[in-house]
Amino acid sequence: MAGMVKIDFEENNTGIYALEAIDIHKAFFKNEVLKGVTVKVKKGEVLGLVGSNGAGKSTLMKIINGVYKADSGIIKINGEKVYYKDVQGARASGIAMVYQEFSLVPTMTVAQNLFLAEEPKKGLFIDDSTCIKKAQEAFKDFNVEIDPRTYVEDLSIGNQQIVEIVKALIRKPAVLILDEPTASLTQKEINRLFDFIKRLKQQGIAIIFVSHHLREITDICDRVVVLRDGRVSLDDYVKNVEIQQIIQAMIGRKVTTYEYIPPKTNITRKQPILEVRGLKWRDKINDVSFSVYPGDIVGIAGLLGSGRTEILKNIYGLYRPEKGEIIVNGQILKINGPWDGIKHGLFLVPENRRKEGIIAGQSIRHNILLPVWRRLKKRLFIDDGKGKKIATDLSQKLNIKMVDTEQYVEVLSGGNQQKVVFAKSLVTGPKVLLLDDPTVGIDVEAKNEIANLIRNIADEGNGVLLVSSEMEEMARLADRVLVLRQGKIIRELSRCKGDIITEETLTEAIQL
Amino acid sequence: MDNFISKKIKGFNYKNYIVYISFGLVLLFFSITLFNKGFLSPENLMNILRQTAMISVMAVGMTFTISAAEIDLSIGSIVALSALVAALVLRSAGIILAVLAGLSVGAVTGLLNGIIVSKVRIPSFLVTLGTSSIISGLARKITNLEAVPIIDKRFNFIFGSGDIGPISTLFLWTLVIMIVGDLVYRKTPFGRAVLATGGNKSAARFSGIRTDAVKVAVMTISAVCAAFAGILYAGRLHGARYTLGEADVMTVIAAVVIGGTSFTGGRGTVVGSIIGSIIMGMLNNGLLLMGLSVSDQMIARGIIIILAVSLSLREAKND
Repeated sequence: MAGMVKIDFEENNTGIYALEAIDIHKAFFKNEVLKGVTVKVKKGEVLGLVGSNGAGKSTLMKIINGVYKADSGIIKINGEKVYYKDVQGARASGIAMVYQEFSLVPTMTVAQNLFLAEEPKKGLFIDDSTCIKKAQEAFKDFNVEIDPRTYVEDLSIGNQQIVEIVKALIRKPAVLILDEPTASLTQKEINRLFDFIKRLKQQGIAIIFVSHHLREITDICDRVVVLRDGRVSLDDYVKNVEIQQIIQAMIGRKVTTYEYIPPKTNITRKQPILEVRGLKWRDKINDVSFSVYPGDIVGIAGLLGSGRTEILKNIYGLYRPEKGEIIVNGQILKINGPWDGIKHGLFLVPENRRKEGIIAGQSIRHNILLPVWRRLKKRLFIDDGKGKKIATDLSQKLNIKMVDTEQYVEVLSGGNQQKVVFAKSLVTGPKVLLLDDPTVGIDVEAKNEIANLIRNIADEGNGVLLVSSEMEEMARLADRVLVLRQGKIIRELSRCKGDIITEETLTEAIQL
Repeated sequence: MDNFISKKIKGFNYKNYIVYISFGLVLLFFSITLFNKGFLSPENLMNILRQTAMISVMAVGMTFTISAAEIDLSIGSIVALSALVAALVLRSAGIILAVLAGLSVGAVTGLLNGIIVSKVRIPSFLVTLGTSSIISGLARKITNLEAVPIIDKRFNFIFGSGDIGPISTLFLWTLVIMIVGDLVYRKTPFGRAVLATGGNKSAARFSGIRTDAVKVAVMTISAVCAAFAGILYAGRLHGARYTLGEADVMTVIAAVVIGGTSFTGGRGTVVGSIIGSIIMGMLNNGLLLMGLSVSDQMIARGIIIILAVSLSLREAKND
């Protein structure tokens, strides 16, 4: 593997940079995503790259990795200018990237995966014993104990992650990019991964570590670069900065355009509309209890993998809780599936619109009326006239931009598709709306409309449980916020008790 | 104006009407080539409808199955067992009991298929391939490979051999099944649940549809339709034999797909499937009248099916 280069880790080290991305600009049509970003990593250095959604992180990574081409700027590897126009080119130049989604084939062995499409051959056939020997050597180099003959699906997620990284390292790259490598790992696995990263460091590999978890950045990284709105807003050695400063750099001192939308009338918190008691599900949710009152918008804030989505799915009947009670309007529910949840006034707006929200190939009307066909039955058959009217009225109420409700849903923009999903939830007349990242990936205008819509739903005396990865959105809507970490509620913020709920306080709460 | 017309033409998607276009083309082709052999005579046309009745009935059931993104390969074997069971029961009991016995062969097999598909989560093509073998084995076993004649004239009249005026009872049955099937498919909550399940199973589930129950239901519908087709075969041939329905699976699936039902689920029509099955019937009849040998007919039919199906695949245009 990469030769044992002696490296001086001192700050004033003038040593050569493994990767320099200098003054990178990139715009998509008129939308400037990167406005002159410069990032440099030395050999044996771990650089933490952070920034909120839309700051330009992933665009920058894709440019370095050859997926996109920069509009202007220079990329140097080991001090030399490089040009490449695709991922293969980037790879040949010494860039290796490990994505969030694993690219391993679970039904093949570790060794088969490591050498996939580049198998060492003996004559016409794959030389299996060389594969295994080479894999063993690679693992030994990195002090990892994994048998290359194991099938990938039999490995723990943590070990799969390590195999993934080793696979990237086999090409002896100069720079290794890890994109949110800890997202699906347990704490123990994270510790092992960090030990592994430290060993790679010693071998002189430059590492870019992309993460939302600021604690991890301060734990494992030497330097941190914060991106905000396409620019570098902080670039310093980790030992010189506090987490507070990183958060400040992420959010900036921008005038917040997203003001809290307060409820029209005061919420009286006496009789909860939804109560969850002692919920437990696998190792993802641990003894979670809370209440939602009529008119209440309760946020569940937590990082990816904190169990936020799982809580909603347990309430809705998509997952079967192992322990705990779900009480709607004072009645303990026995929920066998979403159909039962819907019957009792629950409805979930899923985070994955394409997969779980809409049915492509069917009309807007068919999508909106999906949960209520039974209710539209007149004697034997569906009353299509009535259905059409309901769908049209709702589409107008939600301001869905369309020709008519007979259009296929997939011709609409993302924001309008999401409004269709909302319309679908409203058609059931829900008492409690469960929202899982309801505005992810849609434009600002639609976001505003949906935020107001959510408040209106609550003002009509319904409860809303809101999960969002965007703290801005949560600060704008939530009257109370439950802070979730590793399946446990660690804190509750409540406006009526005087807690301040802003993007900043929430970002801090979920990090610390 | 020119612009308007060209827009109209561009907006016209022939794939939406492919089943009617194919129907017209096949009809035209045989009308010309077989002009002297009486292809267009009323007797021959009614004969085609008579021959396709069983395929049509099965195609109606299969439309539900394919729309829900499943498939049923066991229908051919159910045809044989249902016909045999009905014929055997008819020896010692009345028509109603015989028919019920035949249909219950379908109901039981369909339920079994459906439960295995939805609970054990084995793909339906594998499950029904397995049950198909079991049912075929049973059909051979219960009569020891022998045919069972039916001498009950009323049974034969009602289920296939009779004519009311110039109209065959088989055609009337096709009509009844088509109308019921079409109404259920287009006008009931169940029909919408089938389309939603086939279109996007997760989204359907998130919207409160019991997708597992839908799968059991569609597997049962196609199996019961196949059992009814078996009864029609028995009535038409005045008896049952284990070979009945053997070659029908491919014809039925081709009819449904040519009829415009999406092979990946979520879209389809019952009427289209019936037209599809009549196209298949015209092919059989026309190729026979052209004097092709059985082997040549098989080859020609295979080629035409592949052509027609590839023309009607809507999915292809999106990729």
